[in-house]
Amino acid sequence: MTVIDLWIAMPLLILAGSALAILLLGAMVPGNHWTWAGVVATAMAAAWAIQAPPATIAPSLALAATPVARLFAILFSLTAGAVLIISHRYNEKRGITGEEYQATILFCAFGATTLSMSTTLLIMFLGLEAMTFGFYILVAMELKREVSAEAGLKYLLMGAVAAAFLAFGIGLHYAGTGSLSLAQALQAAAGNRIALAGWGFILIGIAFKLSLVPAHLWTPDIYQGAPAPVTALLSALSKGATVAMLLLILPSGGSDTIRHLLWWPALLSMVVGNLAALLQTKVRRMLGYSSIAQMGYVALALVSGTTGGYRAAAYYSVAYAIMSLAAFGAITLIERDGAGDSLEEWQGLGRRNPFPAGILALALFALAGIPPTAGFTGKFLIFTAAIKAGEIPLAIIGIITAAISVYYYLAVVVSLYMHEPGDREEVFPALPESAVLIATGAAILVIGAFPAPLLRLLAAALP
Amino acid sequence: MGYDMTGFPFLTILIFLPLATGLCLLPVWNCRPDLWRPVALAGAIAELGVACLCWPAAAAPAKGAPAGFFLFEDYPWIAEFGIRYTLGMDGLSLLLVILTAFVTLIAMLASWRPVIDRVPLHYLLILAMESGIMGVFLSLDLFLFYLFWELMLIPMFFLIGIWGHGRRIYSAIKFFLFTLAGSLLMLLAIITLYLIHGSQTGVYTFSLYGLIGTVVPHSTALWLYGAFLLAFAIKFPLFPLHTWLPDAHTDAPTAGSVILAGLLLKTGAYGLVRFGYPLFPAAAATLSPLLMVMAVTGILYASWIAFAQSDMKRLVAYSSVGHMGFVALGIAAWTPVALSGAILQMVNHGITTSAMFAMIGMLDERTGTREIDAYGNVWGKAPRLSFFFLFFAMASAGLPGLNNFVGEFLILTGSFKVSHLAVALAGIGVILPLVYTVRLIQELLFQEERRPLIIPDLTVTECGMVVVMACLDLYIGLHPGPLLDMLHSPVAILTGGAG
Amino acid sequence: MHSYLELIILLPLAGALLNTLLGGKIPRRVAEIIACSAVWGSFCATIALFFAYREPLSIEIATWLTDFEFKAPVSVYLDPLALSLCLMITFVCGLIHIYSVGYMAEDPGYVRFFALLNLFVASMLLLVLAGNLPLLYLGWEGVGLCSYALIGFWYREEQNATAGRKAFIVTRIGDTALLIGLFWLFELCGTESIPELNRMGPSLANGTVTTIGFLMLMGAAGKSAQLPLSVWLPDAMAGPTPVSALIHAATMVTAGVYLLMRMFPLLSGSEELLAAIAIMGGVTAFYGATCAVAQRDLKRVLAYSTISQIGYMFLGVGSGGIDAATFHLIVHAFFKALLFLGAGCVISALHHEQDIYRMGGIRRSLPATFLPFLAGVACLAGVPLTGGFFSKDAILTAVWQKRGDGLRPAVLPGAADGPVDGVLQFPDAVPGVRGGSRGEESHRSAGHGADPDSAGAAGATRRTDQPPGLYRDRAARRLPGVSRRNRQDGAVPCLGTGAARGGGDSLALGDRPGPLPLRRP
Repeated sequence: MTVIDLWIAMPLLILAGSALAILLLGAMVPGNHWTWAGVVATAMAAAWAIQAPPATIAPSLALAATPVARLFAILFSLTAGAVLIISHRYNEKRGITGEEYQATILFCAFGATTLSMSTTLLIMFLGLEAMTFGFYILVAMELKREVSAEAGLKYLLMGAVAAAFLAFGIGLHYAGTGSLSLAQALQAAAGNRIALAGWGFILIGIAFKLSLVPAHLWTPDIYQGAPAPVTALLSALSKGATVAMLLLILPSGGSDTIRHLLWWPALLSMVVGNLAALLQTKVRRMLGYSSIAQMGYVALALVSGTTGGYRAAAYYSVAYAIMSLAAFGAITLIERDGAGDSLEEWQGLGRRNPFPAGILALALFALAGIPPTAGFTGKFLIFTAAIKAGEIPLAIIGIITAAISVYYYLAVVVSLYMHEPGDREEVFPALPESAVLIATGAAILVIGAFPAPLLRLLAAALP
Repeated sequence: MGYDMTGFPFLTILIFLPLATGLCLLPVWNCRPDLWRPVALAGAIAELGVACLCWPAAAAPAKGAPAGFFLFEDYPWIAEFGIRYTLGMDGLSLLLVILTAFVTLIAMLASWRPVIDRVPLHYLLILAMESGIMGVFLSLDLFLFYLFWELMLIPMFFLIGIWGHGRRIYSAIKFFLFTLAGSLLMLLAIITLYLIHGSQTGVYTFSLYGLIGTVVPHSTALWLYGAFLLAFAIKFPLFPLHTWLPDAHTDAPTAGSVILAGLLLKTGAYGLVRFGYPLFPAAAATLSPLLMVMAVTGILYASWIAFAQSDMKRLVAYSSVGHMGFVALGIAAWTPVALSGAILQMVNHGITTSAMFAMIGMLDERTGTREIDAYGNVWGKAPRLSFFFLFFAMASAGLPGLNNFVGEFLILTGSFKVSHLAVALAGIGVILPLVYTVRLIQELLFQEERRPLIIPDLTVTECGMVVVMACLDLYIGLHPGPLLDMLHSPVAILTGGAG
Repeated sequence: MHSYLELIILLPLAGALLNTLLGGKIPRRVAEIIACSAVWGSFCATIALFFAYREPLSIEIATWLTDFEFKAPVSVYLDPLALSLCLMITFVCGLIHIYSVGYMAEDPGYVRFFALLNLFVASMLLLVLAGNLPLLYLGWEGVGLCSYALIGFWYREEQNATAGRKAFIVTRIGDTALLIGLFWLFELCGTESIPELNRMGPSLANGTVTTIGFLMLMGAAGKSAQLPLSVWLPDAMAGPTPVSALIHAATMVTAGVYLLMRMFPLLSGSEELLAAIAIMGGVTAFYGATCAVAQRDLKRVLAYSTISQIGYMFLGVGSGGIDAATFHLIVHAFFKALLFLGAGCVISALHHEQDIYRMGGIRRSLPATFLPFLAGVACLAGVPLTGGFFSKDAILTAVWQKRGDGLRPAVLPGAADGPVDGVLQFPDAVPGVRGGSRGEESHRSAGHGADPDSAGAAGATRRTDQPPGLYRDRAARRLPGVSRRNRQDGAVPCLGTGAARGGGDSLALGDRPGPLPLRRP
């Protein structure tokens, strides 16, 4: 292990180390203030990832600090930090105590970052499972809510099956090609039946993680059951990490077969996700289905198979992370004082609770793809890539479903703004929470209206 | 003219001044309720001032701009995709920009008294919408245009949904979904055109004047133009895509109706003139009979339906569909006279129908009902109000000497050589509005009252507002020369380009 | 010249504006003076113009609609036809304004009334003087609006407002046909200017002229209440009586005839069209006269008689007798205004009783009304030596001369009209002569009402005798070619008609550079 290896691995070390430290020290000095330690750790990890390393690859660790990896490392760290902040009061209110919460979140971020930096399938798998493991705990964290526990169990079962598929697929790939290296993995698998079968299994596992139809059934339940900040993290991190994983695999070239396997899941996710979301009366469940649809759009970008498509997918996963963070951040604030998650209970929030409601509305408009938000620009990039690649039917279906999706996003906005409020009191957000929400809201607008810097970054990262 | 305007970002100011004013309301959100209305009003007035300042600039063309444009701003924006921040103003834009500033001001005055709930939000939305509409009328980059196109939906959605009446939520959602569905397909068409142009020339650009002249296979062009046409026809609204409009109008607050009728409908026509025809001249020519059929059917159908309305607002909403049918007819004919008539008619309809909605708003505010059946003998109670109501109703029915006549006359004159039948049928559409208008006038103003309503006459502010609008109606009706001159060069360029 | 022309239209317009703007803030008397002096000022300007008149004038006063190849400036075309109509309009309107001062003395809505009357006069003058068709259409719709508003002046009664609405809508139907005719002419000729269109007339295909002519005829029929668009005029009597006199007898309803005369050089290119005009006129004349016989309401009798008389004018135009039609138009304006004003006096004297079978004794109780009224009736019935006699005779002569086979059937009802009209006026005159069953109830009409009444009567007689000669002299001096043609035309069977014809002919046709484009069979 050299200094360069350490340099490259430093964000991981910071995250993992601080997670362990919080666990250890928390046992001695229990309390919620570990949140801030966690925030500092994530900020440090992000700051470290910003600077370019002297070399890209650390072969002995099977890690690489490629521009894509660094971008995602920053995203994941900052997301984790933001989730820590918005969880702070929520946890106090909901009785989620103990330092393991903060530690697990850091651990999740560690797993996701590892995944995005991996250079072999094995490390990738380890990172993915490390992250998922953290989520098993976080989803069921709210011990007093039965739904939470049920969601945790469901996620555990589904996740285990997905992990099994992944592991088996990786095994088959190794059996077929004799290599675990990610670079050229698809080329190596081309024409190799065993390896291709392995990739079939891997894709099934990935579909679980991305909650693409038909492997989507867990999503709404988890979105509804998990604590709100955890849903934000799940939405941003788990989806982002899986997209990062695909971006490590797919652009390396090789057979188009694998990519084309995503065609039907992309189509079905857009259609089923959006149509099912129309029927929901609970906001979080609706957002669960919406996430299925959103991942359908990302899959559409990946199906197109051009650099434009990969960049669009990367852009959209960043945008989606921010939008979910904003939406669930706002939901966290709204639910903190006991509002249920059915739409009726949210009526008039725009008046009673203008700040979180405003951010939520912005996030919903962004998810619906209304300009000048990041959601719009992302969809624009995706459709441009898809049409350029000749996937016109998919693009048209995507556009139509996007138009349909607007309805259920609007339904929430309508509840927020166009009904008289109930008699619940106004909730004043704390300063850090406000800062996070304002930052995400601003990010939605800035990335949407001025996407050029991010696009330049992606152009450099995904040549 | 007298001063050098190159280099001064008039257009950017036009777009962002209202939004900035609206955001200025935020700091005084809770602490200074007395400042809400003056600040908003000052912003709107300043905007109108800036818009009028652009008029003298028409004397000299801008450097580096496409032909006909006298104010032009062009900066790179998203270089990776060839997206530029390109704004331009020619005579066509100028008239609509001034109309926008004016109608927004009217909308603000119209909601001066009725809106007492969430006032700053109300004004913020109106101003934000003004920004969006200005953007639509000034953008020369398709991406930028699309952005503003969608952006103006949101404030209207909230205006209808929050301050509306009746089934406001249903109407707001219907409005939003209808217009969005059309425009999303237009987005696909924009992207496709962009890619076709890029693959042909290697230059990827969203600039309108870069894309004009792209060689697109006719069948593809038909699809692309069809998508544009769908988006614009919904906004227009053309029969049979108009169903959102009566609902939206009926349930919208006065300011919403004024802006909806006065401005939002114009964006559809503007889009067709600025983007649809120049980008796909051949496809547009192929489909112009379709547009003409939609226009004439709309004129007749809407006028017919207007008879059956018992709600004044709904009646005027349907009359809007009819009037916009005339605009569509003029565009479909695409002759210089018809086109300039159509554009002038957009302005006319903007003024007259806004005035009608504002007046209905005044009645509604006084009595709390818009049912025609409830009224009677308003002339005896509020003669000034009645006079202006009659005035605008007559303007709307196309009485010569008032503005709508000029537009309709030019449209029909110019369209006649393209289709005798369409003009003859549209001629019936000249009769029908008069019929339902005088019926409305009679039931409302003249005959014996049916409910004892107390209707105070116009206040000084209201009076000032309607007098200005009436003067504009008269001015355009009697002396449309300056406006037509302003339109001469853009229309000549547009129709010349279309062959 | 220019300033006179502008004054003619602008004075009444200014009067209307002034009264509207000042509203109720000025004393009633001032409002009345403004209204009356505006019209009389306009009359004076017309007189001045009359003496300054040398030759047909085409003047562009201002721009109105100019858009690419389309041009419709505010332009005036002044020829003897327009000039004589202007004289008639300003004079009759002036009288009716004065009459109205008395008639509306008790009405609180006088400001609205006078503003509308002035606006009407301005629109009517614009219609007559317009140098291009869109401008004519502007005046055309302007008078329509005023008519609508004035019929429904007493708007509280639903029946009145409904009558106004009906008039507006029915005429709008014809107007739209006219409008389409305008578009068509523009497409064919590339101009809307009336003199230019008339000049281009002969070069147009016969079928096209027929179609366009039918469109214009529909417009004219709507405005002039000819069949089948005649339904609105009897209902229009719901308006105040001066309005009926002014708009629905003397001026506006003859606008259709004026339009056809104005465009005659163009329209005469089609024989079928002329026949249609003549037939429409003849049938309407018969229909109107017959209907009038069955009426009990004094004003409705007069309304149907107006329909019938205008049918007469159509008949004249259709037979190519522009001169005769013009002559009858002017004569009719005087005697019909006189009759209406007289009727107004009678009706107000009888406390708004309009049923002629419940009247009587007017001769004794209202002699100042009775005598002029009798003069009007005589003129209407075409009693020899009255204007009506000469003008109707001129029209019948024109019809006879026409000798078109298609026209024969039209001659009959037309000819029948004269006696019928005479007959129908009988009950009209009856209230005057019949014994005074209700005589003691009637009181003398107000002084204001009576004066212009007599003046109108004087006008009706004077016009019949003097102006033709006057005009003929002036016109003959300036337009030798036309006079020569008239002389060639020579064989006019009736002396009186000849006198009238000479005057009317030069009036209507004086501006034509060459021989009439009339096709003689």
